[in-house]
Order: sequence, then C-alpha cells, then structure tokens
Amino acid sequence: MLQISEPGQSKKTRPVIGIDLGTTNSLVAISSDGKTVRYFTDEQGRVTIPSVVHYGEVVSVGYDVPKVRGIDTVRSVKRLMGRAADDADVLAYLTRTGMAVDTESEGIVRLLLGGKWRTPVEVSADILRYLKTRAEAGLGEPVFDAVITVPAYFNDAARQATKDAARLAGLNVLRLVNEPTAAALAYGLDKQAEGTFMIYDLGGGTFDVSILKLTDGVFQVLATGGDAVLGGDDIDAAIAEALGEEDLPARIQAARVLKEKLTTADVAEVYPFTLTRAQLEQAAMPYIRRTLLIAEEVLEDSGISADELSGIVLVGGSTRMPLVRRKVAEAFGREPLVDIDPDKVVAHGAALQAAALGGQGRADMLLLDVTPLSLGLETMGGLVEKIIPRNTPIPITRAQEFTTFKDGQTGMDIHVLQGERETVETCRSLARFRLSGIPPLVAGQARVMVMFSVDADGILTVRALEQTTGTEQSVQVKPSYGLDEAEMIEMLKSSITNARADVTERMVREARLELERALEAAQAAFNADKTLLSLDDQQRLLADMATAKQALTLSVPDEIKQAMETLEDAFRTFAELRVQEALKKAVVGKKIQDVANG
Amino acid sequence: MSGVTTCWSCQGPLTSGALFCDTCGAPSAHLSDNPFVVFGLSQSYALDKQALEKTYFALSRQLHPDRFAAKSPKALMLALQHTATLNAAYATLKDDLNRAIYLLRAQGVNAFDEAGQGSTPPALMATSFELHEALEDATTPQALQSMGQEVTTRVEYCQKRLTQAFAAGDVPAATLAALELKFLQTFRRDWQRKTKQMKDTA
Repeated sequence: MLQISEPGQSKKTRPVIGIDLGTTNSLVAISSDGKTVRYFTDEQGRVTIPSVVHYGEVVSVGYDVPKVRGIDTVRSVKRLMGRAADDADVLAYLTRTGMAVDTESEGIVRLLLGGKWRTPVEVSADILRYLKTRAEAGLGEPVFDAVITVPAYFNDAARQATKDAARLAGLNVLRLVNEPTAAALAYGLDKQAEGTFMIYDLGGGTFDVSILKLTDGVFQVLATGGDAVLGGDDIDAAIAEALGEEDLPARIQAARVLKEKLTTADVAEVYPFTLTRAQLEQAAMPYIRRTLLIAEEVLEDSGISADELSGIVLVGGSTRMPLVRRKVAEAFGREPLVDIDPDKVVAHGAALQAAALGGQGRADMLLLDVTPLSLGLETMGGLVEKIIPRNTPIPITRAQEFTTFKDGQTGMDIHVLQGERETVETCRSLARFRLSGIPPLVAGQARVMVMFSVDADGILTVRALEQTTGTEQSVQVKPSYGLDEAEMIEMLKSSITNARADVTERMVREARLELERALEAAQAAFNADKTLLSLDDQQRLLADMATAKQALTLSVPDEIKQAMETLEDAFRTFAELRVQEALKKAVVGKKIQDVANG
Repeated sequence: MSGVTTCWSCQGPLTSGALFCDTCGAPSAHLSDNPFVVFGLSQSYALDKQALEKTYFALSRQLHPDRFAAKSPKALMLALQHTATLNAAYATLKDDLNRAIYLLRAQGVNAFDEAGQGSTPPALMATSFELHEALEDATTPQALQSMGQEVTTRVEYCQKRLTQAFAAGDVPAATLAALELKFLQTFRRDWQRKTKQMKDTA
C-alpha cells in the first residue's frame, strides 16, 4: 500500500532570516524555535556590520571595506531610500558626504560609485546580498526568505524601495516589520511583559516612537510617529560643526568617536580635537528636544497618559547617550528601561517574526501594526482629502466616492498623497494617474469610487472605478522617483541574480505553494471523509496524491500547475460526494431542529 | 440551520458564513462586510467593548496574513482581504458614533451621506454657532480648559441619549444625537488645535 505523509511535515521547512537593515549598522539573525535567536557573526565574532559599501575592483561591505575611504565608499544610504533627487534631505546628505549625484537623472537619486551611477536601492541590495551570504555560510544552506525591518515612519516609497532592494539581492520579503514593533516583540517576549509600552528608537539616521499594548501574545500598535531623517548622524554633524575649521569628513569621523567616548567619560580627546560632555550635550540638545516633542504627540494620539505607561523601552545606538536617558526620564516622569541591548533588539524581533511567518514561532503571537502617515487624494483647490488617517490598523481597505465637476467630463486625475497637512504642497506626492472613459454626464452625475488598500507591509495600492460603466484603473503606487518594473528587470539582469531566474523562481515558488496547499487540502478531506469511498477508490486517490507530491520537485511552473489541476480533478467526484453528504446531514439537522422547536 | 456551500480549496462542503473550512483550514472565499456579521453579533447598538476586543484579537489570530505568509498565494490574498474587512468592521463597531451611523444608515437614514447634508437641525446649528463663538472668545488657558470640560459633558450626554434612543427604537432621536455627537467630535479637534497653539506660544 502506498504511504503518504502529511505534506509540510515530511519536508524540511525553508529557513527565514530576520534582517535589521540599519542606517549605520546592519544585523542578520535567525530563530528556529521562536524563542532563542542566533546572530550570524563574521570570523571575528562580530555581530553588527557597518552599513558601508565600497565599489572598487570588487564590491565590499562592512568591515571588508578598505580603511582608506574615498569617493567610491558610501555609508548611511538608507537616508536616500525612496527619496527624490531634489529632496532637501537628499541635498543635505550630499553636502555632508561630498558625494556626486547624477543631475540629469529625473527624480531618482543616482550616486557615482566605482565609475558607475548607482541608485540607493542597488547599494542597499549589495548590503542585503552580503547579509544573505553570511546567513547562508552560517546555516550551510541557501536562504530565500526574509523579514526586513524598516523605520515605522518610513513612507510608502521607502518601503517599496526596501522591497526592491531585497528582490535585487535575491530575497523574498515575507514581511516588512516596523523597527519599534520588532523591538517591542523582542522585549515583550523576552521579559514576558504585559501592559502599554513606549518604544523610543533613536538610530543613526531615523527616529521612531511607537506606543504598543501587549496582551496575551498580541502586540498591538496604538500609535506611531517619528522623523525619517533624524538620528545619530545629525548629532555627529552638529558636533563636527562645533569642532572648528578642519576638513569636514575628518571632523565628522572624530565627532562619532568623541560622542561614543563621552558615554562614560566627561572629557574626550581625538587628536587634534577635545570635547567635553557639556559641549556634546549642547550640540545634541536641539535634536533630543525634537524627539521628545514627537514622542509627546504620539502619546497623545494613542489616548494613553504618561502615568498609564508600563514602561519606556530605549532602542537604537544613539540612546546610549546619557543625555537621552536623562531627558526621556524628565519628560515622562519615569526612568526608561535599559535592560536590553539597544543595538541587537530590532534584529532579535525580526528573527522572532521570521520564525513565526515560517511556521516555527509561537502560534499565539501576533503583530497588529498601523499606518504611520495619512493617505489621501487631491481634491478641488489643492486640498487633500484624507482617505486613510494615520494610525489606522493595517491591512485596511477604504473607499470614497468622487464625482465630476464639469458637464461632459470624461476623465479624472487621481493624485495620491501622503502626509498630515491639508494642502497638496505640504504633503508628499506618491503617484498620479488618470481615469478615462467616464461617460459624459451632467456635472455631479458620474460616480467614481476610489479604493485605497494598504497591505500588511504598509504598502499602498489605489484603484479607481467608474461605477456606471465599470471602467477601472489600478496602480500599485510607484512614485516617480522610484523604480518601475522595466528598470527593476534591467537591474536584475545586470546583477548576479539575473532577471529570468528571478521571475521563474517566483513563479515556481508560487506554483509549489499552491500545489502544497492543494495537497494539504486533499489529505485533510481524505482523512475526514474517506469512509464515503470504496477501498479501491481510496487507493486510487492515495496514488493520485503521491503522484502530485512528486511534482513538488519540478521546476517548470506550468508542469506544477498541471499536476495540481490533475489532483483537483481526481478529487472532484469525492468532493461532490462530501457535499451531498453534508447536505443530507443539514436536512436531517433541520428536521430535528424543527421537531425540537415544535 | 445555515446553508452549505463549497470550499474553494478542498472543494468539499463549507457552512455558509464560516470564516474557515472545517476540513482543510482554508479561509473562505467570501466574508460579509456587515461588521455585526463579521463579529457574530446581533445588529444592535448596545455592546460589550471588552468582549469585542477579545473577539477582534481571536479573529485576527486566525485571519491575519502573517498566518499565511509562507503559504498558498491565494490563501494569503484572502487572508489579507479578510483582515482588511475585519479591521474596518472593528473600527465601525468599537466607536460609538461610527456604530450609530452604520445602524442608522441600515435603517435608511441619509443624514450622514452627502445627499442628506444641509438638513442640519436648527437646534444643532444654534449650538454650533454658540460653541464656535465661545471658542473664539476663549483667550486664556483657564477658559479653554473649562470649554474642554463643557465639550466632554456634552459628549457624555449625547452618548447617553444615543443609547436610550436605540434602546427605545427611536430612530429620529438617535439621528439627532448622532448628528450632535459628530459635530462635537469635529469641534473637539478645533478646540485641541487652539489649546496646542496656546501651549506652543507660551
């Protein structure tokens, strides 16, 4: 007799890694049980990898980057993710780093590195590829799936850019997790904490604050906020400013070292510079003040008062500064919790979530996150109509009806915006598209339904539907300064993972997952109702399942699909029998109920 | 006894209205967009919010796309859609005003739709005028604070009226109370803005 084991149990599950893709440092980790976390280190046992990439004869990342850094070395590239070339923050970054940017490039930032123009997405992909390789070396097997953390305050464009970078690196993103949420997950599970917590996350380039309610394994974000370009880098720049006239890159490098030394010392020296803690604090204070203002606003948004908080958790390397700890304590009337490693906690949470998504984590654990920024549409007079307000739990779909304002109007421009203010100029433009084919009617008669859908990664899709004719336009919101599909394919071609392999891998993967699902469903149905079948028929279905199972090893999507359809056809008669049986039972149930109701 | 449909995944029987197939565990292809049906509640205004949150967490645990991340793309897509529906349903039910508006719309009341606007009751117009004038005149933190208290009192009174009107099946009274509550919530935002401005300039 043919034996068929339950699909999914027999085969080894694919490893899912957790990645903290930081502005200054990146980490990669894995959890095989949803409790313990293994960090992948280098030969020297170092866990954190500087997010630095050098483009020389070869591409090198992290500690492999040559000591003498020239114009072909790039750091803090996360600051440029999803940003337009003429963005004020991008210009500030370029001034600070002295990097060359392609001025001809429309919208997209392109940096001159190793004699080639490269986008921040490509640079991030090189960091991710390095992390993937490190994990593969540690595991001794290939890695395809990952959970990647992003700042909670990252906008749609930056999230999409991060996913694009992963794709270039040959990684399938199972989920983008917000950094403070990942930190809360690690902290909450580790300390078995319950209650409402503030996560204050000040990293190298970004600031996030989230309020989370922790109950029975549910991590519910109540409110979030932040600044996507505020972090330790800015404090370094402010210190460098105070250090005088020397060469700027030298001053910035010195500033970083001085700041770290002043965590414990009162005076620090890095030839030829000297800095006291008081001077450091004076330089850092404006930035800290800004973080506290944001934190107060987010707390207000959450509807929780400071004394209702169970604790404030500090995350990110910059929270090592004594000034941050003191000011947070002053502002919220309690000492912050510092009993976790602020550098590792985000990667720790990412690894736990990766395990959960891969089916190896705690079964009762659940993250419920929100949108950090409001999403809306341009309406008459340059105003923004909010469709999804900030702090709305995701995933979410919201629809709003609009109408024409001119007689005979047959088209409508849909301009999608993200931000909190009320006018178009003060919000960030995400996408524009035109819905045409509206039947010419009197103004106010046509009805256009615009649907906004935000998925669990915080990425938006917009659909517009003309109600009377059913004309539909749909866009995955790809901002003008992001990469379109053609460019993605072009980049994939030139990267190690080539385009065709990427597309085929995706299709094979999806077909396999669908076949696995069909096999699981078939097995479950068989187990539940096999008594409806003769022994011969049972044997036949078992054989069909065994045949279909063999197709899991195929690598042609259509062949896998074909195997699934054959399996489903083989089960059709059995399914009909099962339905008839259920209907019979339902009728009997009804009769009994009728009698009982009398 | 409810009807029987078929499961898209194992093709077997599925109790209509069920969120999942009992046999193979696939999320059902359809989920009602009536928030009360999603939560398995009878369509009434009164409800236990703690129990509502518990159900929300329990359903999220089953339906959330995280549960289907490394599984069939079709099951994942359904999980995503259903969780979006669940989140929208929860937002409607947990908020007193949203829940009231949903129930009133179901009764055919159009006062909350674009078509029905402009029919603001005179008494509410008067209140609106009065409160906005008072807000303009409030120039000290003390005056603003006492206004804040007044708004809170009015909101509480509105909520009480709303509960009573729904309990008595009095649709016109419930509509009035809901319109006033809606106005007060908008007004409270104006009040918050001014309070914040005063705090910032101080």
